[in-house]
Amino acid sequence: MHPYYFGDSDRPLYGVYDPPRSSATLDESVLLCYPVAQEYMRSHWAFRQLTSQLAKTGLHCMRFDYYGSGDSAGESVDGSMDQWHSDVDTGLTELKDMAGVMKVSLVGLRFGAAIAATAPVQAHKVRNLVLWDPVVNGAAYIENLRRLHHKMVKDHKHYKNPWSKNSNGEPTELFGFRFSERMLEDIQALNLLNQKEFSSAAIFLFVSEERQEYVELKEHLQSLGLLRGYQVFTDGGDWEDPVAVDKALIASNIIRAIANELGRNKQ
Amino acid sequence: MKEKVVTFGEGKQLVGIISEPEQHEKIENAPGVLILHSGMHHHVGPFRLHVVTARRLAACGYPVLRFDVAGMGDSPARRDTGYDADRTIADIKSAMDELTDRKGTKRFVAMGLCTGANNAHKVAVVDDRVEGCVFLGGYAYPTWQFYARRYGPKALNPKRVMSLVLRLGRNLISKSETGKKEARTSARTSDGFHWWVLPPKEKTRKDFMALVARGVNLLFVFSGAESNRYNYTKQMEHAFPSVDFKGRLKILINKDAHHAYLMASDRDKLVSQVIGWLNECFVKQNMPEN
Repeated sequence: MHPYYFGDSDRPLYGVYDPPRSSATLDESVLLCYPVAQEYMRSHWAFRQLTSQLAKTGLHCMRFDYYGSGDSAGESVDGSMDQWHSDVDTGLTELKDMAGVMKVSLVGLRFGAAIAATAPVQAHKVRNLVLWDPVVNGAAYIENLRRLHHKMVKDHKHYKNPWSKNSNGEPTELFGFRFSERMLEDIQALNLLNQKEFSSAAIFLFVSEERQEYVELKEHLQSLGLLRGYQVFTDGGDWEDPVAVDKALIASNIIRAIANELGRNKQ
Repeated sequence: MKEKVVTFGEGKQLVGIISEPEQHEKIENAPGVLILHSGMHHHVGPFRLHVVTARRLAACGYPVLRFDVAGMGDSPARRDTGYDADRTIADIKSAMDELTDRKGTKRFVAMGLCTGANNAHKVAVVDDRVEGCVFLGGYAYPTWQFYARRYGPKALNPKRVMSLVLRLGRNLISKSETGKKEARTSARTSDGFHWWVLPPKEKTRKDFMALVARGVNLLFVFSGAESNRYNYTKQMEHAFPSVDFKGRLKILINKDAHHAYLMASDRDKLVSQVIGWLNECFVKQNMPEN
């Protein structure tokens, strides 16, 4: 495991590169895209487990923090869809460089899946894209964050004025993180069901429950001829459960399945 | 302010990030600040609290190391069979060694939230290099005033009195089961890794005596969410009447704040408080008198 800063020295990104831990090392690599805001915190441990599993199958892996998140430079309000897409591009270039391989795949969780799916990184020829519990509809996602934030501050009766709001009267702080107007607009504009261009032509959809939006996304990807696999698992998730919001994500079945799928695909 | 990823400790397995002041921001003989992990949160901290704190402290002249002890966050687990509490303290000592090797820092402030506060206390007691501690939601012992403030208003409300009587009744019925549960919790939590238990008051009293004698400055910050443990400023001094803190104890209560500082404005306020306290304890003493 090799943690380091990379990218523009004025705006460095924090990443952790894991080299293959198998004698059958092949020339393929995987970039992991974290969720944003509080869901990033929930997922850190699960991503560490996933990189470890992927490395054991012989793959090169990297997980990294977007600009304005985790240990990367910038404030949380500095995020935007353009910035996150640019970070994925920088991450892919860095991973290829670090691993010395040209073949790359992407794995994204929650909003990280939406970022990975919509990133204009066709030049990298992403072989596989794994969407893990993806945020399908940005507006519904923000609505859920608002509901969780409201529940959290309501439970803590100390807050007199729990909402900071923008000029449109919309909350700018959601579940512990400041959101700029641009971030809110970018996220709310996202709808994967309207997306025609994806970052890869081979997409795997791994979800923790059979929700209507996942079924619709599956059918949408099938209609575009991009879906290579769809599996429903019973662990992890609880993304809309206020009790689970500050608990580490435990999703060993999905993690194993992703590692198996990408391990198989590398052949 | 600039940052660098470092790996240190046995086999260079521990991962941390040093935030250091630019040349023009440096304070002479500033203590290094160690930000310790809290619960299951890795070195980024809840709601990015540790990142924000480290960067602002560094911009004010203090070198800061935020890091993961073995088995947490980005630091791999050890393969030996040592006791978690001992290994955690050993890792914190390694963090001090690292900051000394890289930045020449010889004195330290240990800062932590919840589990981190527990570990800050433990390491301060055993390592003379620690000259200050910032305890966020740290140890608190009840006094009669605490109980009066907590239960007094309720005692005047008949509905709440009835509710309390019913609750006590239920607790009595389930006492045996609760006892078993507590025993299990203590066994699991005594390691100080993800969880912590309040040490016996007498042990803490002796620790405070030793720390004050050594000249260690202590900052306790309690949030409103901790009002069920600490609810007035003088509670610490009242709980330890035999300890002369010699002006080295400071207590702040952020009554509107969440335990893990959920609101960004609360985090901003907290970091300003910590900077103010650091300057008061470690900068003013360096300044020549007019």
